[in-house]
Amino acid sequence: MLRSAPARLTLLFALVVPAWAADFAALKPQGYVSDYARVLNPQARAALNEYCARVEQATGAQIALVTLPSLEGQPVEEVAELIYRRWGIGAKGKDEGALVLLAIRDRRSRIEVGYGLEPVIPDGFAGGVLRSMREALRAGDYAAALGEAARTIGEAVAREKNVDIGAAPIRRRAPAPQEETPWQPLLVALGVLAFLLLTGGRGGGRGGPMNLLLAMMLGNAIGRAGGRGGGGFGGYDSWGGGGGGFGGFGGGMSGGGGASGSW
Amino acid sequence: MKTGLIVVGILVLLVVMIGGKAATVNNELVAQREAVSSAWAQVDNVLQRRADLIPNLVETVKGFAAQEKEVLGAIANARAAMIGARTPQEKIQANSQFESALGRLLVVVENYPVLKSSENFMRLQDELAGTENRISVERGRYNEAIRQYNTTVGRFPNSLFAGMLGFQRNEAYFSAEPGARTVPAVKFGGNE
Repeated sequence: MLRSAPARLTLLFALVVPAWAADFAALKPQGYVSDYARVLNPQARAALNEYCARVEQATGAQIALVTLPSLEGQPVEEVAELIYRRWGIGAKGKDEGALVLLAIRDRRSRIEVGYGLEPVIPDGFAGGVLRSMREALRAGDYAAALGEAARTIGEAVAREKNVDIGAAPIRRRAPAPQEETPWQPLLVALGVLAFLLLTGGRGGGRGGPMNLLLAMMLGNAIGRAGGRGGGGFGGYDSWGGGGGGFGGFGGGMSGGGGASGSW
Repeated sequence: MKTGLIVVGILVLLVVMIGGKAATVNNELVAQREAVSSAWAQVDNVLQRRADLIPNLVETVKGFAAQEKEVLGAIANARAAMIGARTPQEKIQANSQFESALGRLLVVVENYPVLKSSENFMRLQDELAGTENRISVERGRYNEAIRQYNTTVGRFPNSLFAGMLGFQRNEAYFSAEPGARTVPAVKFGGNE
């Protein structure tokens, strides 16, 4: 038993504050900027968030800036692709998104480009952005490096779309409605259930096979109702303060485009 | 008489259920077979992208290292084989030839510091590395689509219907060459 107060406190702490784990798939976006390595101060974070919100407002493209303390021995390309896929940066179907990833201890960087931005940000261009970030990264100025990356990417997209990022006012986007409950199969299931309850009493032994069939239909309908909700990892959870207009990522896809670098 | 009717009723129900199940299995398999072909289309896309990139790369290397005829020739051959390949199996095979030629080219390039540090070549190398990464990503998704399809085909009770409906296992997995992932190591000129 843990009797001493400090020991209990330690245990409590260990339970409350999750240790950094290599489960990249479980990471949730903290806004446009997700500073898991804790290398950005609040002002820098807010400024970066605001800039990315402006970019989205003006161009529709989403930029995610992510810092990780470590890659835990995995290739930066795989980690970036995984995070991109789980978060779905950019609108679904348009896939106009970019992920800038810094792994601080590994000194590895990557820009992962969504399908929709591949023509705007070719790999050589992404590599050039990473090379231009290098000086700031070596100096430990992660905010400047990320700012440079976000600006270069944002401006390239704005140029392509012929819009001006600076002119776009920041509007807080209303959070998208929750995924609709699949009423239809549920209603069918309820109807079948009601039928079962009404008819189940009489009939006795003869009801057996019939009930089995109905139970199967019921199970099928419920199973389908349950499975429906799973698809949309859009991250439309109620992100509150500090997001700077962040309304969640949109379900975009990347196909491994972009570039990797080190500093 | 009465029991006979019930038996007939149950039989009719069974037939309806089995027919319904077969239709469900058919639809699921059609959808997954489509997913496999669209995943392959993506793989094909990125393989083509690499083939398109090569002439540019070869030209740039030639400017600095024209004497490396053997490696440059091997690349040209591999590219020709890639373009000539038609079926997924042929392309997968041509791809491994390509990968070994590219690997050799990148080793050779190490001997030409001026080439290595030219911005043009660095961008080409980014493009190449990006293409390799795309191939690896799309290949992974393609294999996953095939794996899912094969699981659906082989799972009971689907396996009872799949053969009848004309769905066979698909064995055209695109396995990665050992070390393929590391072939186009992006090294920035002398900075590491």
